[in-house]
Formats: sequence, structure tokens, C-alpha cells
Amino acid sequence: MEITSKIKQPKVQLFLIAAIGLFFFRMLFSTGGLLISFINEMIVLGVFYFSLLNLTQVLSKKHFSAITLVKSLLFLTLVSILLYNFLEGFHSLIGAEQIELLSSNAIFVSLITFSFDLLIIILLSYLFLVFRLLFFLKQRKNVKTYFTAFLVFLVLSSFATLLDKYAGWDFIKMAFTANAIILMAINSLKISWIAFLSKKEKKQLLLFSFGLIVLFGISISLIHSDNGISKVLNNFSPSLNYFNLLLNIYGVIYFSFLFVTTLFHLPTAEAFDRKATEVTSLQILSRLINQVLDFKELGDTITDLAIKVCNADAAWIILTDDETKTPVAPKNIGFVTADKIQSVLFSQRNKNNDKEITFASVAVCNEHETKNEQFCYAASAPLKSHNNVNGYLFVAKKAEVPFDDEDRSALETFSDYASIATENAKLLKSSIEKERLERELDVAREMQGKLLPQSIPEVEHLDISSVFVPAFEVGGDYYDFFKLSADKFGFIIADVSGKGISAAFIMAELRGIIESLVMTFDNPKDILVKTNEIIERTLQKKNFITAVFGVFDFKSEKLFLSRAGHSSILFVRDNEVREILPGGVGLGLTYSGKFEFYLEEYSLQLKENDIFVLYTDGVTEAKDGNLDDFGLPALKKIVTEFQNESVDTIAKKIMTQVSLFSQGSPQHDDITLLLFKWKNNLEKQHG
Amino acid sequence: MAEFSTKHRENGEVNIIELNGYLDAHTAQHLEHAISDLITKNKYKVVVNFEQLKYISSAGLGVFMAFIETMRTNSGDIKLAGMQPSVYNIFDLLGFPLLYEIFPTETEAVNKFKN
Repeated sequence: MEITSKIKQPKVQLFLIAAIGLFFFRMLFSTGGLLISFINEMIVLGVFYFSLLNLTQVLSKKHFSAITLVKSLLFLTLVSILLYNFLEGFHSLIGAEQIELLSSNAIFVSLITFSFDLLIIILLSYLFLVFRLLFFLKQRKNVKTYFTAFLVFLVLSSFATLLDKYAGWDFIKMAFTANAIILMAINSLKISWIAFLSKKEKKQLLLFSFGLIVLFGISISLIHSDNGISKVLNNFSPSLNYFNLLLNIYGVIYFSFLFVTTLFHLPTAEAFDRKATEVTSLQILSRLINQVLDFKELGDTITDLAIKVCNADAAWIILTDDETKTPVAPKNIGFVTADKIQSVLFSQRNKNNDKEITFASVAVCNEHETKNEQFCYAASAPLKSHNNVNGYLFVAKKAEVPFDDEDRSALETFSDYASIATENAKLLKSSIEKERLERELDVAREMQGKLLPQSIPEVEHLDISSVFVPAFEVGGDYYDFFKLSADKFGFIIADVSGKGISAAFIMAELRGIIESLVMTFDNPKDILVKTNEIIERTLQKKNFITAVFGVFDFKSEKLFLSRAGHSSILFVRDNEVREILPGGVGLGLTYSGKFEFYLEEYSLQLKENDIFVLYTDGVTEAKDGNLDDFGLPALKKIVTEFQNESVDTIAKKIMTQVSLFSQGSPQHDDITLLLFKWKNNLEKQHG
Repeated sequence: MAEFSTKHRENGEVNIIELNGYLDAHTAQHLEHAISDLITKNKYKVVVNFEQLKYISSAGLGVFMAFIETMRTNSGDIKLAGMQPSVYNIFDLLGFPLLYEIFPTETEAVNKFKN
């Protein structure tokens, strides 16, 4: 609204000032010639204009639909007809012949008449404004010129009434009026907005237009005939009265056009409705694509909209990665019926091209079904992404009319959108899942770190070194030291199969078991056999643990150990590396007597500077860029080379080599290293 | 980790699963599906051919442990065959040869079922 943007302050004052001015002007110059009449008309125009401004300001804040505008026209015409009748009544009450006299003398009567006039001005300006809003509804091209021209001729013909009245030049008025009426007809064609109405609204509109034609007709007859109303109005302002007449004529013309056009639009209204639903549905869906966090909610929206778009009665989704094929977000259908319809559709699906929509008559499924679940036709549309079918969208309908081409294309478009939406939801879910997993792994790693020895114990006859490097996906490595008695020192190194939080839990369980067993037992075989018995409760069938439990006996200067499926123990003596590999199967591989049967008890008489290197497969299976293993030979080589160094140095050398080897490749398993160097008593006495 | 795939063949009533590539914690599920498929079809005599398997992790080993009991209680078995030395070494360290039947070739494993 151009007018409102220019003048922002309320113009109620202006309107009131103009109205009061008009009143006093009329009191002073009750009768007069052309000039007085002209000034009178100008002031009336001013009042009209200010009334228009005020109303525009009020109305511009609201958004009107076509139907509400038409309804307000109905209201306005009814009110004005009512007003005319009041006026008529008032007029006959005071007597027609006294009108002119009263308007100048009796202030009371003039005030009432003037109020009527003022009300009519307001009503007219309102009427004009609504016409204007209707005209500009859904207009894209610049049609302002037509309306302005119409307005100009409207005003000109109104003022020409003065010339007609005082100079008798009625041809000027006639010429202007003819132009105005032509423009009315042209402007009445600008009613493209009916196309956007729903069928229901069109029916309403048809009724309203008819009503309005009648009402405008009544108005015209009231104003135009030679009765009290026209006398009062003509006395007030002939131009305004003429303007009123023309506006009512415009109303009749406009709504006649509208009536006929709506009538012709009615048959296609349904198709239009449908397209409109489709477009809005897609809009809702495309908005959802980027918002939905909850897959269930998304599924519900998709099935809801699918029913609308395809004129179906039921809809549901099946996801291909769900092996149970449970319907997601089913609408108006039970699982059993859905399952039946699904199998019919799947059997009729094009085997070579499962990326197309399948249609089927599913009336066969109706046996044994309640009335509510009887469907005649169904269709399935694949939900594709990157050429993969992620799932299917199903629709079914009860009517005995198959899905037509329109339904098909709607379903096609819709399933494309739905695929994107589901794919997005899935990606989002997996990224959340990933984040959750990462946090979980953090917890597992922390847990594992806390369960491992925080410091290496000081032991008289042993130099001990240990290294532990957790992998990103926690591997479940475990090692610990135990002072079994005054002259017995035990240790364990173990590797739980699998990864992540489950491996970490098993490791924690294992630690608990070992911790309690070492209170009672000091023999490696006993401890491992008992552990195997107890851990059965915790381990799943597919899980196992490899472990070595060893005991250094300071009194007899012997090492005892048993190996439950773990990697060999490297043993360095006299410049030679040997592998200690006593028989034994992993913990959890068997819970029968076989475990104990195969578990050997190894013992070794210790000598000064004997070195023992224990490790988990994270060391030997560290990978380089070509996925080759670091390997046991490489480990042996380093141990041999640095055998005369301290255990800490050897450990450091091993780690350096391992990290050099696996440079650039991710560490895929925990790395644990445990080194012992035997120092006998002689050494200690010297030291 | 690199790729992993399985192939299923039948030799009489013996089902042969060929492994190819790298069997680790991530690809183990794939093998689990392949074997549980056989169980749903009541097929309990399985030979796993390792000839094309390059690497096996502890999770990969666990797959066999998960199913062996079911196979054996249904008078079947999982027999392993054709392992490369590096793969065999891992089975050996764990003590698998003491509990499972491991054969140098697939034919030997199949024949064991047939006799």
C-alpha cells in the first residue's frame, strides 16, 4: 500500500477535522451555485480520502483471503442497504419537502442526516478498498494502470454530475461513465485468483457471488430511484451518490463475471485441489528433510502425506535393512494385512528392475478381513539412494478404482523426496551413533587404563618394564603383577578377543577373577583352570581370552608358567632368543576337561640376566601401509640386539621400531609389552 | 580394514564356505550370517576353506567358536581346511587344532565327513 508507506501517523484526526469542516461548511452554505457545490464536493472527496487512508492503515495489517474479502463485501452491502432503509424511514418521518429547510435550520436533524452521510462515506470507502484488494489479489503483472484509469474515470464521472446538474452538460458525464463502465468490464476479468481456491471455496464463492449480484442490484435500485434516499444523498453530495451508483454497478458486473467464471472452473476444481495438496505435501516434506531428528516422526509424516497425495486409504514403510520387515509408521492398516499386501506386491515386482513402482490388485487379501481392512488396490514405491533401495513406501486404497497415472507420478515424486528424507535421517542417526560409540570407547579406554597397574612394583630379583598403548577401539589387553608370598611373585598378560566396550568389560571381569584367585592359589595352571571355569558365565560363545600366567620363585630361583592360547614368551639367555611355547588352549575355547588336560605346566631354572619378553598380538600384528605384520622375527631381532641393555631400554627400542614400522597406519589393536630381567642374589650383594 | 567375502558351495551334504580376504572384527558379522544361514536350513556339515584368506583376527576366530557346538550337537561339525601358514599359526597358538579338525586341503576335510 503506497499510501500507508508515505504517511505513517494515524489520520483519524485528519478525517475528523475534514468531517467537522464539512459539517460547518454545509451549515454556512446550505444552498448555492456551482462554486459552492464544487467546494462541497471537494471537501467530501477529502473526507472520503481520509476515511480511505484510515481504513487502509487498519486493513493493511491483516492478510485477507479471497473468500474473506467476498464475505466482507456481503457484509458491507447488507449494512449499506440497511442504512438506506433507515434513511428512507427517517426521510419519510420528517417529510420529504422539509429536507432542504431542515438541513440548514434544525441542528439536530442536520446532525443526524450528516451522521448518515458520514457513515455512507465510510462504508463507500470501505467498499472501494475491498474491491481494490480483490482486484490486486494474486496479480503478478503490473495491472495498476487499469485500476488507476478506472479510478480516474470513476472520479471524473462523479464530478461531471455537477456539470450535468448546473450546466446541463450531461454528455460529459455520459462519456466518462461509458469509459468507467468499459474499464469495469476489463477489470472484472482480472480474477485469476479463483483458480487457487479449493473446490469447497469455489462452491461458496458461487453462492456468495449470486448473493452479491442481488444485493448490489437492490442497492442500485435504492440509490437510483426517485425516493427519499436518493434525495438525501443527492442533497449531500451528488458526486458521491453517483460514485456510489457506479461502484454498485461495478459490483454487479464484477460478480457476474465471477459467477460465470467460477461456474466454469468448478469441474476442474478437484484436479486443481489435488495438485495443490501435492505441492503443499512436497513442501512440508522438503522442509522436514533437514529438520527431522526422529525417524519415527519422519515416517509418520511421510505416510500421512502419501495418503493425501495418492488418494489412498492406508500407507506404511518397510526398510530393507530391517530383517523382520516390520511396517514403519503404518497408517490405517494392521501389521497382518500390511504383510499380506506386501507379499502380493513383492511377488509382482519386476525382478530385473526393482527400482520401479509396482501396482497390484490386492482384493485377494480381503478374505478373512474385517470391513475396515479391505483394500482393493495397492502400490509400492522404492525409496532409493545412490542406486540402492533402502526401503519401500506402500499405499493401499479401498475404492474399487485402480491408481491412475496421476497417482503414479505423484507417488513417484513423493517417494523420491521421501528417499532423500529417510536417507538424511539415517545419516544423521549414524553420525549420532558414531559419536555415541566414540564416547563409549573413551569410557572403555579410561576404564581399561584404570584397571591396569598404575606403577611397576619394586621387586628384589627382577627388573620389570611394561608398556601399554591402547588402540582407538579398545582391544581388551590386560596385565598385572601380584606379590603372592614373600618369595613368590606372579604376573599375568592377557588379551580378550573382540574390541570396544564389551572387550573392556570382559577384561574388568577377568581382573576381578584373577585378583581373587591369587589370594588362594599360587600355581599358574591352577589359576588359569579356575579362571576358565569362572569366566564361562561371562563369556559369550564367540569370545575367548588368551593369557599367560607366570610365577617367579625367588627361593628356588625358578620360573613357573602356563600359557592359555597366548603368543609365545621370548626368552633370552647367552645371546640366544628362544620361544617358550607350552601347550594350552585359550580361555573360553572349551569348558570341558580338555582345557585342563591340554594346559602344560612349564618351569625353568633361572640364571643371571635371563630376559623374558611377553607381548600381545598388537605388537607382532602391528601393520604397515601394505597391511604386512611387524612380525615375531623383527621382535626377536630387537630383543637380541639390545639384550645387554636395561629392560626399559629394550621396551623403548621395541616401541620405536613398532611405531616406525606402522607409521601412517592406524593402530588397530592394543599394544602391551611386559619385560622381566632376572637378577640373582650375587648381583644384589655386589650392588 | 580391507575386504572380505565368502562363497558357498555344496558337495553332497557337505557345505563348503570359501573365505576370501581379511577376516576381522568388522567383517566377522558377514561370516556369522553365512553360517547362521546354513543353520536355518538345517545344514550342519560345514567345511571352511581358508585358501584365499589372508588374515584372521581374534574376532574372526570367535565366529567358529560361536557355532561349533550347534553343529556338533546336530551330528555335524565345522572342519577347517587349506590354511596358509600365517593363518594356521594363529589357530595353533590358540590351541584350535586340539579342539577342531584342521586339514591341509578341502578334499581331505570333505572326505572326513563322507567316511
